[in-house]
Amino acid sequence: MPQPVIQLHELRKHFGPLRAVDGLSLEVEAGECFGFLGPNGAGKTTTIGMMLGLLWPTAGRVLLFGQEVTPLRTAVLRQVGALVGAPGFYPYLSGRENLRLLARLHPEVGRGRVDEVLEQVGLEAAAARRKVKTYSTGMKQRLGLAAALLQRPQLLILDEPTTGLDPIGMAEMRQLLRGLADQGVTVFLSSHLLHEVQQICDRVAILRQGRLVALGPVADLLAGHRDLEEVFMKTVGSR
Amino acid sequence: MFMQLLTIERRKLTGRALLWVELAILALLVFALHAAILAVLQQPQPDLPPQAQAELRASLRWPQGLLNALTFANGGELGGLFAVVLAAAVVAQEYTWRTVHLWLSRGVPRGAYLGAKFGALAGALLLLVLTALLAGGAATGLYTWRAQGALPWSDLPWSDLLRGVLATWVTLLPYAAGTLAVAVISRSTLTATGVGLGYNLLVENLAVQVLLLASPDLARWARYLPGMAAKAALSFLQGGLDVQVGMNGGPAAGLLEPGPALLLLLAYTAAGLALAWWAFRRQDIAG
Repeated sequence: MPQPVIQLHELRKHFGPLRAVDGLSLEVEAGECFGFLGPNGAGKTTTIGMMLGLLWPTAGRVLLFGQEVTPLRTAVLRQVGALVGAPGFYPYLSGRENLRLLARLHPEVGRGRVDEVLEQVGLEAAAARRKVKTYSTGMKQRLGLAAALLQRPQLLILDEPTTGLDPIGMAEMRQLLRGLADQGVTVFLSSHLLHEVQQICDRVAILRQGRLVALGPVADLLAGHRDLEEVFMKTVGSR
Repeated sequence: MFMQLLTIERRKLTGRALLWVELAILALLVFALHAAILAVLQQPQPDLPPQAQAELRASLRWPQGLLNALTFANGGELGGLFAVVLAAAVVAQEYTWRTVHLWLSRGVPRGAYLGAKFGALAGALLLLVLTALLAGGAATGLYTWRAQGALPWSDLPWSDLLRGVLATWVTLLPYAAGTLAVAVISRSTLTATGVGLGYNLLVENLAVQVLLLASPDLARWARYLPGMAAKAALSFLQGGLDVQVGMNGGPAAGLLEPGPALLLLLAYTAAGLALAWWAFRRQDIAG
């Protein structure tokens, strides 16, 4: 049986008395598109922070491709593309220059790849030449996704990738992610847009106050419900 | 990986206007200060003994004038201030812009990231020293050429010049490393700049004065401060102009020898980097 791409074992993160993530365990298989849902403050971004070696877990383990990730053990993350919240870039460089800078980390990435991903995320050549400080939120988000795709990762971890995108941008993003998953890329997607998740994802986990309250294939969770929003509201309920 | 990161950091640094603005300001200041001193010397100076005037003029001509240009860039003076501003911006803005997330989440080891950042910063500081040398060299070179009709290239003490450049560079490193540590801990450009400049301009200065007032014996400890160690490290550049921008007075007790002073400066640099690493390795990069 192939090894899961993502394994979280009893993962915990406490900020003082606050238990942001409280004993989270789950596995994501290769080629899955996995939806990671929860209300604000449920611990989604904190979990992703630990998966990307940005936060120290209070307890528990994160394994990606079978290798443990901590802030001091991050080698495996070179195979991972990530977009966490509002993506950060150097405002005094253009979108293309930012990507070229990142591409230097990956010698296997050719010069043409930068233009390829810019086109893939719908960032036009003229826009890519502009300094990032002139970008709208949606353009930064597209650039963030381009950066995540740059090294052709086998795992994409995306935290709210559609933030700031217009409806056309959201539809394009949805198509792109579904296409990547169909090509065998594992997608771990955190989003508030339940309709999007329902359309793209194979399986979903729902988090509440740092704990897993639902986990399963989208089709199973939908059984007897109108849509994922109804499942979500029933599971998470009133805060 | 480290060399890749160093290239990336160098590209990031040279792409910033801040570096070139700092270099331009330093060049202008050094040139203008030399020009002002030379202009004053053109006027009759009845209060200054003729011998002192002659010595001062000689110190502004090559070869001594060229060596003196380096004193402007040392850590205890203008150079220290520029090093603090540059280090604070280069490190703390990575948090503000969330670009530190970008690198670490791509598997860049924290130690290599911090090391490359300091490496690029150290390279920029060497550029700062060379800029002061060029600007001061140009001003004193013009003066020498007007006074002597030619530049004494054959009299130039090349080994002293090289030692001077390296020693001046080393005097800047503790300020950059210390500011880097504050920037990592505070994650704020304002705090890092404030603490760095405050230390450079006030604490070292004040500490010397307070120690002098308290007791001459205690004042001897002041020579171990980075600013005084910088002064000591460059004491082999005899006849310096001694333009005081940062520390404006030395303790009554003598300075360290240049060798131990350089070692002390390197120890301060190592301590600053160790503190930065200690904070960075255990830091949660969130928000």
